[in-house]
Amino acid sequence: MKKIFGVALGILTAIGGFVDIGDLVTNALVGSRFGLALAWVVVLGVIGIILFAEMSGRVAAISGRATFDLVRERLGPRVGLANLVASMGVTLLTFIAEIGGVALAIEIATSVNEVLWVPVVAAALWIVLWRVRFAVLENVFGLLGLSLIVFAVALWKLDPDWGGLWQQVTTPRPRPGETWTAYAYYAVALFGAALTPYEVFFFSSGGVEERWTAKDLGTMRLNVFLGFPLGGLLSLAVAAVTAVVFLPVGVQVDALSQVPLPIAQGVGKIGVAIALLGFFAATFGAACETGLSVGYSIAQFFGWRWGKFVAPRQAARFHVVILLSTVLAVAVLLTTVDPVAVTEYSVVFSALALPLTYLPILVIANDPDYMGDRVNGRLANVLGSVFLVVIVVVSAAAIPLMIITRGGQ
Amino acid sequence: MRGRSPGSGISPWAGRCAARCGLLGVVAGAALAASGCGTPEGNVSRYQAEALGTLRAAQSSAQAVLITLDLRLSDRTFGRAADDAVTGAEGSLSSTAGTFEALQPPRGADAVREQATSLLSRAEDAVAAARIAIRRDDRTAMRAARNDLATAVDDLDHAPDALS
Repeated sequence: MKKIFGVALGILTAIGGFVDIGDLVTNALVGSRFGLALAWVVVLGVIGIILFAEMSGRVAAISGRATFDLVRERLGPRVGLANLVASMGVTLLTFIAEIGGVALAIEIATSVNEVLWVPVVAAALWIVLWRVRFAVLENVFGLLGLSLIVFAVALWKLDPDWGGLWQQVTTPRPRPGETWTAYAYYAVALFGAALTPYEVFFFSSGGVEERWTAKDLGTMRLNVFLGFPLGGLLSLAVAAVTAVVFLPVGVQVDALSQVPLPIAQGVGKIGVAIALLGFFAATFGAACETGLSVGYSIAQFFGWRWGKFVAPRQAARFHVVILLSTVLAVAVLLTTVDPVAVTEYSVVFSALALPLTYLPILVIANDPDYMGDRVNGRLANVLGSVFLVVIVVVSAAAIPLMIITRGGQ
Repeated sequence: MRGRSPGSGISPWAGRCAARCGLLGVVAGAALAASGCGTPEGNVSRYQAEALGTLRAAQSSAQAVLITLDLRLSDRTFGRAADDAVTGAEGSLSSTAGTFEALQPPRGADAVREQATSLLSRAEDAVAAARIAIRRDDRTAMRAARNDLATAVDDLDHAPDALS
């Protein structure tokens, strides 16, 4: 019974923890502009994150070390440094966006400007990262993040033309008035949002935090194979409600405060309240994950002690990195930069950094010195290689598309 | 002549500097392009296209406010959430209008500018009225603002006909 509870809890937190500010903003914006014509990108992104999260989780369970703890040792300091700079830069940008997202969620509930909430959110976040146990942090915010199921409920209550929605899904091309370059730009952004580097940083390091062994592989795979696709369905529900309410009247989502409007239309006030709780949990949970991931990546590269499974005093440098990142995030957000704009750039730069994050996972998951007889099978390698090609193409296209479309205009 | 490459007339440092400046120029150009900065429009058709793009963006903001007003009038959303949505849309509309109004119109495009700024101004007024009514939670004023806003949205919808 305890095992079943553990598995169910893992799957639920995987669903609730799947959506972050990048998924919320990008899916809402894409739904309002392109309907569900880019749903295939979410599906592709979910397949990719399942593939590489399983690999990085397996590495953590078998070797007892996080994937990126092994990158410098296996691939050398230069590749390790390139990996660190690219992935950590994007993770830091995402961290800033998540803190801004929490502040925006509170602003919607209070009408007090988000800039005033930023220091409060950052202080609360740092205290949580300093004091709260890893399992509590992961489970509480993951479960609260399930509130975002209200998007699926709202979709059902809006009683849309399901045939019309399906037609959008099966017509993967820009709508009249939209260009192919804008369509491609948002495809890249959605792909980057689904495969954000911190997700694998956090997943593999979290496996070490929770002391996974080979016995935990089954549970880990259930979380990944069931939790992530269901989380992906939540992302699609976000896009679908904005497609139903905003697309026909020409509203293009450009603020988080517009995202609950379809919920209000479908479910009413109670739905808005649940959605705001979901926004808060999803962004605060992701802020915890990205903050920890910044600390993980730097501490693992330099070989410092890291993690919440040791007392803060024993991992002082790891906690200093988290503290400094939090201060930096506050400083950036206090310039009054729009957190939604930071989010949009973070998902595109995430796409740019993908090869440097995902290639090392594939290499280490194939190394028998670390993995013994648990190296990748043929299917994982074929799919992983095909995905790497896709990732390289997406990465190469990210910046040119950003320039050509003037940031998706 | 130390450090100067033969025949080039440019020292390696200057060459490297020029290359770096060139690179910086490319990066700065890319950053400007990405951030949407543009030079004043040079001809009437480009200016007209810019006006249409601006009016489409304005229509999006005004329509979002209209939806919010309807939701608040039917008590399907909270006052604070409605206020935040309207304030955000108002800021977006104001920024869009400000960017367009700062553009230098080419000769022969004054009528386009006048029509566009008139439509934008009406939309801004209607959105401001909606924001005031929502903050006061004044249902009568909300209904009045809704009528003005619906007209402004309708005018923005028909902007391509009006500007052509």
